[in-house]
Amino acid sequence: MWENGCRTTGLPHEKADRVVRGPRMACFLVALLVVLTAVGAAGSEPKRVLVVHSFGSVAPPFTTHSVAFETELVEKMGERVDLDEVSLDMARYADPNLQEALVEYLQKRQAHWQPDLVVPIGSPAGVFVEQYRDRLFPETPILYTGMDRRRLSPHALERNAAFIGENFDGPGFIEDILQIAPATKNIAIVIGASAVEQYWATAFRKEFEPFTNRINFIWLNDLSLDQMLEKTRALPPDSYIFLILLLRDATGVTHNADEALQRIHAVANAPINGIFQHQLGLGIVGGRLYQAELEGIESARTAVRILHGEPASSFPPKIVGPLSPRYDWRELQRWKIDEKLLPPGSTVLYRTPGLWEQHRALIIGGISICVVETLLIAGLVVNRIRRRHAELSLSESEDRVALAADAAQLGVWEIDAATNKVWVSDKVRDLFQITPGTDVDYAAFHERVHPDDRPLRDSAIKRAIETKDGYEIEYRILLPDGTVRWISGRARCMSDGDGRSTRLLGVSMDVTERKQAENEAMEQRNELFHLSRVASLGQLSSSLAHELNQPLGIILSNAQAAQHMLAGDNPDIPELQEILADIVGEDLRAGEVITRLRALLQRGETRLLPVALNGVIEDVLHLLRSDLVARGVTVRTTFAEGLPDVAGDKVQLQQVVLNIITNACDAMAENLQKDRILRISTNLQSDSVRVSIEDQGRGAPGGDVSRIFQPFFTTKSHGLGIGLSICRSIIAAHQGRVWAESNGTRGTTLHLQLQVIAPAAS
Amino acid sequence: MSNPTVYLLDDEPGMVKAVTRLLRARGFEVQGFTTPASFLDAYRPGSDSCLILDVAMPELDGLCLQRQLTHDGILLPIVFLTGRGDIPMSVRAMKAGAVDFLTKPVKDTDLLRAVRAALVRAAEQHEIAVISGRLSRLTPREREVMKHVIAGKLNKQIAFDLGTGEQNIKIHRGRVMHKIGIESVADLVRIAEKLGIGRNRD
Repeated sequence: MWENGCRTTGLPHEKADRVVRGPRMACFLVALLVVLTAVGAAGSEPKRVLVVHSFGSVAPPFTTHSVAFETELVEKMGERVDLDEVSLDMARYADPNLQEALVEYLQKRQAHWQPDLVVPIGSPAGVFVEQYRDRLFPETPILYTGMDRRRLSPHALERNAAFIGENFDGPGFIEDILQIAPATKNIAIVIGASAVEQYWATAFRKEFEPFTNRINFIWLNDLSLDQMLEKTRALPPDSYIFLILLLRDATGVTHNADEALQRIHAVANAPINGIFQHQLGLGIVGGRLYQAELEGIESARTAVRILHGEPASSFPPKIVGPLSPRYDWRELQRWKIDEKLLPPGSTVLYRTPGLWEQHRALIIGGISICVVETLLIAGLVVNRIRRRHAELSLSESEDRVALAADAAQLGVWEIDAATNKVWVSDKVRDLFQITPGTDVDYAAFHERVHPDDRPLRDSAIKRAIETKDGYEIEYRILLPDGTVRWISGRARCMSDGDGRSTRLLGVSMDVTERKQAENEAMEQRNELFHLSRVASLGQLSSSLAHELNQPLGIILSNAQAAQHMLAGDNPDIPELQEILADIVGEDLRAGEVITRLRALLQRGETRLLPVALNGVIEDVLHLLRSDLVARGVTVRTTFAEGLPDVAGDKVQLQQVVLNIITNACDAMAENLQKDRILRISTNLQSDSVRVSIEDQGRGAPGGDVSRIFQPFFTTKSHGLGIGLSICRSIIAAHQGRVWAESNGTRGTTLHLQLQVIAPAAS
Repeated sequence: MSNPTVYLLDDEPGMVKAVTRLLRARGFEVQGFTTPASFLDAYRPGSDSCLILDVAMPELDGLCLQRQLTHDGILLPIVFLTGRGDIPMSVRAMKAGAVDFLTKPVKDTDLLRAVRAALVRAAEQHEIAVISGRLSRLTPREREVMKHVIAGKLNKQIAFDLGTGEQNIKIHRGRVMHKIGIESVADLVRIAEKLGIGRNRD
């Protein structure tokens, strides 16, 4: 597959090799395939980039660099890049003749494919490109990357070239080792024998010179990998291994430096350090590591800008420095390197969970059980101490209760249900006026209770004892001097666990003042209701006069007609009988009017009895009949049949209905007679009866019907504005609800809702 | 002329019944109604009649009915009988031509007096109506002569005033008396007074 699609790549056999051996390369190939298909599809003019690799097969750190570079470049340029590669494979073929052959080969290729940018990665490629540039790419911009600046000539960057590389700090590597392993005496240097490795061996040997007085450097560059492994397996104590590069060993065998590192790591008896970031995790301990990958990415970005037309020489040489120190936790553990020795700002990676991390839940659970047990024991001990303390302070606490009861004017008592024995506090004696010092029994107690209230209190006490519950009642007591006082009594039944003995524990309080205040408030309210009724009857006086005059007039006319007929010679007896029957009927009717009137005028306490609301409304309509006629108001009633009774005071409810109806009539006074229609309906709403009285009047100002219940709110020139506010307090006293609703364009509906009484009570 | 009829309109049937009994016992012809509509249906002008009218009724207010009758040219004397009279209401009723304004309960004597007065007025109104109709048949010259007769002038004076002969005046005068249907000058004067003829005219 690769062979077929390899339109732009150089040496097919190398590529096949990569597919097999490197996952990163596979990545790259996928990216390349994307490019190829994209290029084929778009058919535009892509930029041509020639990458010159130093080494053939997967050769870290160069491949790390080149994969990052190519991936980034493809990503940034997309379909607009055509990537070609050539590899010097310097590890195997570092021969001037071969280089000459390669130059010729490239020259021939360029007849077909002229690159827009040449990117040598790694110093061998860089050196090669610099050397043959005039013959191969005299005008093409060059981006040198993945190499130390020192590897190029000082003039290399003068002509249409850019540089992104590193600047290895040789002594820094040794300092890193000594930082974490200060006792190090020997450092074994692992490095291959290829040209670039020879260069670096020489360079580092020179840079390490300052340490030679205290460190014994063991150079393994003239050994095969197997020999190196043997050597590192048995290094003297206080040794360290430093891996620079391993591309080709002294016996001419090429190696993947990362694989070599792992093999050394597997056998070595000393910690290992390397140069590059990607080696962390493969067996090195760590330190300042160089970022081949970042270098690749930076190079790709610069390449993009050059391909977009920026001159390569406009970019100053860029050195990508090492990362802040980072370490492999596993290696630190393995070589017992104290993390305290790491330089400030270090990062430790690959931490593996320890016993605590792996078994945290179990450990916490175990500890928790221990703690809980300890707490339990402590709790039991404290509880015991407290109980002893409580026992000691019980009498003190009783004193406090007595004091509180005294302060609250509470009388405390206790009855033993079995023996009928009674214990009372002094306050109870005081309240019930029982002589101090005398024995108190239930009968003595009972005797003080007002005769009317004795059954109430008796049954409350009995029920409390039977049901082992409590009670809360208010009753009167009659004192020897004849005064009556109100007592609020509360009691609770206390029984032993086995239920053998039962005691009733209670408190009594004199609430006479409160009762009096309540009664006064009630009386005042009733008086107010009464006065407002009288006031509303004043408004009705002419209507009432008519209601009485009507029957009286009929009676008089009938009676006088009869008189005259009797004065005649031949009185018509059947006619006379009829006249008398009519007189009786009218008289009764007049009597009814008087009765209704008296009912409305009577003053009395509010008494809630079963009331039929339809009847209340009918009564009021009777009283108002002539008034309604005189005002030209037509009444339309829709009464629900079979409504249950509500609990109410008939007179007060009549007053409310009367008030609402007269208000409604007032509101319609300015209407044409045909528009003076009053609709009254009743209906059942689950557990209450609702009366709705709808007028077609002018409504409340601004439609704000909520205000009409406020005291002194009126729209009438002669009204006081207290009628509806009294209605509301009457309905509130009935635990009912009265509210108004604006009928939109015209009129107001007043709703009145009262609870039906429980069926058992009706 | 048929018997005088007393119409009675009250929304209260008991009241209609009682007043009907009272008036019938006194020999009146009574027709009772409880709604204005039924009354208006049954009412026939042309005979001496009056109306006893309640003020407050559901369909039509008594005072309104009074106005409507006047408007329709029905000269029916009205006695108001109400359960709830007040002074402004009675003033309005009387100004609009009511014969009386009574409140319930009403004594039979008061009611009978009012009914009688109403019927007298009805008779007079009837007479006036008849004579008015006859007056319309007089020629201008006869009308001129009648005015002078009412003014109490002698034939000679009238002839002089009108510049004609005394004989002519005699003939005119005879025709006036005949057309109006009266026999004496005294009757003529009385009727003329009622009709408002001859006053402040000369």
